[in-house]
Amino acid sequence: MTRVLVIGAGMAGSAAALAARANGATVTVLTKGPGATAFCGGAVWGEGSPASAALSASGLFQPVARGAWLCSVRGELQRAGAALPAQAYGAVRPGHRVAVVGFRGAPQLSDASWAAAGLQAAGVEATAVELALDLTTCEVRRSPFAWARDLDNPPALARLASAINRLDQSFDLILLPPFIGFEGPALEQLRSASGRALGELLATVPSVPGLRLSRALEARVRGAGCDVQVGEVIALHAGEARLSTGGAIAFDQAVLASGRFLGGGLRRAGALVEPLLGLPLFVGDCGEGAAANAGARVDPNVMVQSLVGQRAGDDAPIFRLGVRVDASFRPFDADGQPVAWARAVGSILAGPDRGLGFAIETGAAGGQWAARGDDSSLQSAVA
Amino acid sequence: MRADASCTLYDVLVIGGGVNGTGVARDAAQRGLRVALVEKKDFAAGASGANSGMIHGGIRYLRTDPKVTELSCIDSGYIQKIAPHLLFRVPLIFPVLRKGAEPALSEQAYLYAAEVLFSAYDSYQPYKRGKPSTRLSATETLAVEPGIRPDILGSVSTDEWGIDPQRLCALNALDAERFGAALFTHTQVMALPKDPDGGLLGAEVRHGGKRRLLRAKVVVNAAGPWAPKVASLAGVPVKLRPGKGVHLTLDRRLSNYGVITNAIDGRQIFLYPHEGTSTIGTTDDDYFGDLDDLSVTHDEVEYLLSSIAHVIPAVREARILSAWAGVRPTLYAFGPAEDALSREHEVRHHGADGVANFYSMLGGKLASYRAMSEEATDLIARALGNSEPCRTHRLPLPGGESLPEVAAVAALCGVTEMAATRAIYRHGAQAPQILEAIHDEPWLGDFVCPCEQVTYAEARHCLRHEHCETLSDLRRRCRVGMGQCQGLRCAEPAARLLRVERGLSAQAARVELQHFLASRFEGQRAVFDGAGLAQQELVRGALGFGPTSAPVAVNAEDSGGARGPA
Repeated sequence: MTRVLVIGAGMAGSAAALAARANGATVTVLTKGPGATAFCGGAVWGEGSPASAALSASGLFQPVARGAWLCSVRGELQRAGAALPAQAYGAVRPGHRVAVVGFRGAPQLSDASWAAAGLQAAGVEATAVELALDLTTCEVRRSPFAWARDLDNPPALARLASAINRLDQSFDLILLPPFIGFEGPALEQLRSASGRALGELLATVPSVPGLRLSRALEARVRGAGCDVQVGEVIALHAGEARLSTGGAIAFDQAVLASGRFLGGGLRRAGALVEPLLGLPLFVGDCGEGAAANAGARVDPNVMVQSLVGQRAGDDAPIFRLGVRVDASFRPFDADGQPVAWARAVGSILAGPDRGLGFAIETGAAGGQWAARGDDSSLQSAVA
Repeated sequence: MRADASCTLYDVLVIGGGVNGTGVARDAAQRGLRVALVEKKDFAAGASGANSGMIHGGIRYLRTDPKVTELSCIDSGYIQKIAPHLLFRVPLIFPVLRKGAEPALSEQAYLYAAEVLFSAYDSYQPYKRGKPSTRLSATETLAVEPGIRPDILGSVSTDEWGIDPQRLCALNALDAERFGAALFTHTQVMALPKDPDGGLLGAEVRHGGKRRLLRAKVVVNAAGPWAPKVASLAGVPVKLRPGKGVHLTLDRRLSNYGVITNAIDGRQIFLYPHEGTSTIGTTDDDYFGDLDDLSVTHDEVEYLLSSIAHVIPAVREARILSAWAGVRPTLYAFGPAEDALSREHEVRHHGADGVANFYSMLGGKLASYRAMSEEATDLIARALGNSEPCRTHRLPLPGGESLPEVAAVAALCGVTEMAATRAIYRHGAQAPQILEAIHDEPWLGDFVCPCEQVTYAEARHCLRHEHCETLSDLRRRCRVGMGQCQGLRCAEPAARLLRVERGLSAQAARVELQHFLASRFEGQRAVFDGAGLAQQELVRGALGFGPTSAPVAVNAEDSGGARGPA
C-alpha cells in the first residue's frame, strides 16, 4: 500500500486525502491550523464546472440552480456552481420576495439592510427585517462565533425558529446572516419551521461557514480512515518528513496542499520561497486550467513592489504566484524536472485564485495520482 | 457642504485643512471674524497627518535655529494647556555605541558632546513641563531599555511630547466651527477670481460635481506643500523646497522610550512607541514629484529599518504595518542639505505681488503651528480692522476643558479601561458623554476596530459630529484601521456603519470600502513581507478587493458567467 502524506487540511488537502484513501493508500494528513478554506464565503465559483458536480456528490455542498444568484452580506450578487447547503438554499431567483433577517442589538453583525439594498438594486423585492432576539450571553465582545455557538443550543434555535415562523407569509425566501447554518438537523429544522425557502447570505471574515466547513472536512477525512495530525513540517526529503514537534513521518508520496501565503505554502521573508522543497516559483497566467500552469519564473529576490501593482485595484502578479506541475501533479524542481515523490494541489499552484472548486478538482486528482505511487516509468512511457 | 454659503460674504477664507489652516481658522473665528475653511480632502490629509506627531522643540534645530526651538517649546506648553488629553510624554534616549572593548577617546568625546547639547536644551524644558536630561551609564541604559545592543558606552536622555496630529487638526477645525466658522471638506479650490482692482473676490470651489463661488474679504493660502499651486491660481509666484519624509509603523511596541540614533549616513532618526505600535522616522529628501502621488520606495524602508536595527536588532522581528510619506513645506533655499534647511516659517502678504487681500503661510512645523496662526491672524485682523486679542493659547480645544479619570469613565459606561483610555485620549472631557450612549444601545460598546479598541459609540459620534465623509476621514478621527489588521477586521463593519449613518446605496458603500482598503494598500505595497502578504491575500479574497461589481439585474435574462458581471 502506498503511504501518502498530505500537507495541509484545507479543501485541497482534504480532497487529496479522501481520493488517495479511496484509491487504497494509507493516508496521514498534517495540518497546522485553519487556512484559506476556513475563511471562505461558502460558494464554489464556476457554474456547471466538473468541480461543482464533484462537490455536490461529496454531500458537503449543494448545487446552485442555474440562473440563481447568491448574495453576500455586502449585497453583492454572485453566480456559483455549488455552495455550502445553507448558502445554496439562500439562492435568489427572479420573482422571489425576500426577507433579509437581522437581529436587534447586533446591527454590527447582521446589518440586514446592506444585503437588502443590494438585492433591491438588482431588482429583487427585498425587505430588511429586524428580529428581537438577543442571544449572546458570553462575556467576550459579540462576534459571529459567539452567535453561532449560542445557536448551537436547542432552546435558542427553537426561539429563532418560532420568530422566523411568525414572519409575514408573503415572503417566499428568508435570508439569514451567515452564522447559523451548519451540518446536521438544525438547518433543516429552521427550514421546516419557516415553511418556505430559507438560507444564508455568503459570509465575510471571520467566516463561520468556513470554520464549520473545515471541521466537517476533518471529520470526513478521519471517518475515511486517514490519520490527522497537528504539526508543521520543518524538513521534507524523499521518504521522510520531520516535524516541528520533534517526530517524523515516513511516506512514499507527499502531497503539498499547503496553500499560498495564507496557508504558508509560499512565504516571503526577504525572498520568495516555497519553504518545503525550495521549488521554483512562477507567476501563473490569468487564464484557467492549463494556461495558468504556464507563466514566467520569478527570481526569489525580486522586489516585492514589482509584483503587487501600483494601485490597489491593479493586477497583483504576486497573488498568482505558485509552483508548476506536470500532468500527474508532480511539481517541477529547479532543474525543470518533476519531483517523482511529490504532488502539488490547490492554491499553491501558479495561477489566479480559483476558489474551492479548483481545490477539490486538483486535490482529488493529485490524491489519486499519489495513491499510485512513483509513476515516473509510467509517465515516460506515456510521453 | 452644509450651509448654503453662496450669498455669504466671509471675512476670511482659509485654503487648507492642515494644522496651519485649521489653526488660523480657529484663531480668526475666536476673534469674531466670519470664517470659511476649504480643504480638498480632509483635515490633516496631507503633511499635517503624515509627520512624527511630536510636539517637540526640535533639539535638532538648536544649533542652527535656536529661535525655532524656543518658539516651539513655548507653544508646546500652550498646547498642553489647551489640549491636555491629546498629549503624551515621550522620554527619549540617545545611546552612544563603542566599537572596541575599551571606549575610544572619540567615542567618549561624542557622548560628552551629546550631553552638552541635551543640557543646553534643558533650559527650554520648563516652557513645556519637560524633564531635564540625564546621562546614563551603559548598565543604566540597558536596564531601562533592554532591547538596545549591549556594546554601548552610555546614553543621554531628554524629554518630549507626542500628539495625534490628525486629531489636533480636527479639533482646531471643530473649535473654529464652534465659533461660527463654516467648514468645507472634500472641496477643492478651482480658481481664485479677481475684482477689477486685482484683489481676490474669494474662491471658486468644487464639491462633488458642483462648483460655486465662496466670497471673502481676505484669502489665506495655508495649503502647506501645495501652497505654490494655490498661489499660482492668484497669479502669484511662491517657491518652497519640499522635502519628502517617510515613516514606518511597526506592529508592536519595541521599546519603553523613544530612541534617537544616527542613521547609516549620520543623520538623526528615531524610534518611538505609539499606542500599540512603534514609529520609525524619518527620511528627508528633496521632492520634485507629484504631491498627490506619493509613494515609498524599498530603499527608503531599508534605510530606516537598517539604521534602527543597528541599535535595536529586534526591530527586524517586527512586521511593518505601513510605510507612509509626507512632504514638508520647507522654505526655499538653494544650497543647504535637506536636514540643514531652516524650519522657520513665514507669513507672506501678497500686497507687493499686487493682490492686497491674499496671504500665504509658508514653512513652519507642527509644534509651532499655533504661534504661526496667531501671527497670520494678527495681520489679517488688522487689515480687517479687528482688534480682538488672540485667545488660542488660553481657550481649550474641544475636550480640553478637563481630563476625566479613566477608571471612572470605564465603570460609568461599561467599557474596558483600555477603551476608556483611548476615548479620553481623543475626546478628553467629551469622552464620558460619547460613551454614555452605550447605556441605551449596548451594541455601541462593541469594537468597530478591535486592534485600536474603537467602540461603535465613538465611531458613530465621529461620523455624526466631526465632518467624516469617507472611511479614511473616520480613520483620521479615531484610528479605525490603523492597527495590526490594517482594515481586515474593521473596514467592513466601519463601512456598514457609514452606510447606515449616511444612507448610502449598497454599491456606494462597497465602493467606499474598496477605497479605504486601497488607501491601506498604498501604505503596505512597499513593505509586503511575511504575514503581511497572507493578510493581503485574505483581504483580497474575503472583501472582494479589486474592481467592485456593479449591481446586476436578477430579473433580467442573462447567460451567466463565473462571477457577477463587472
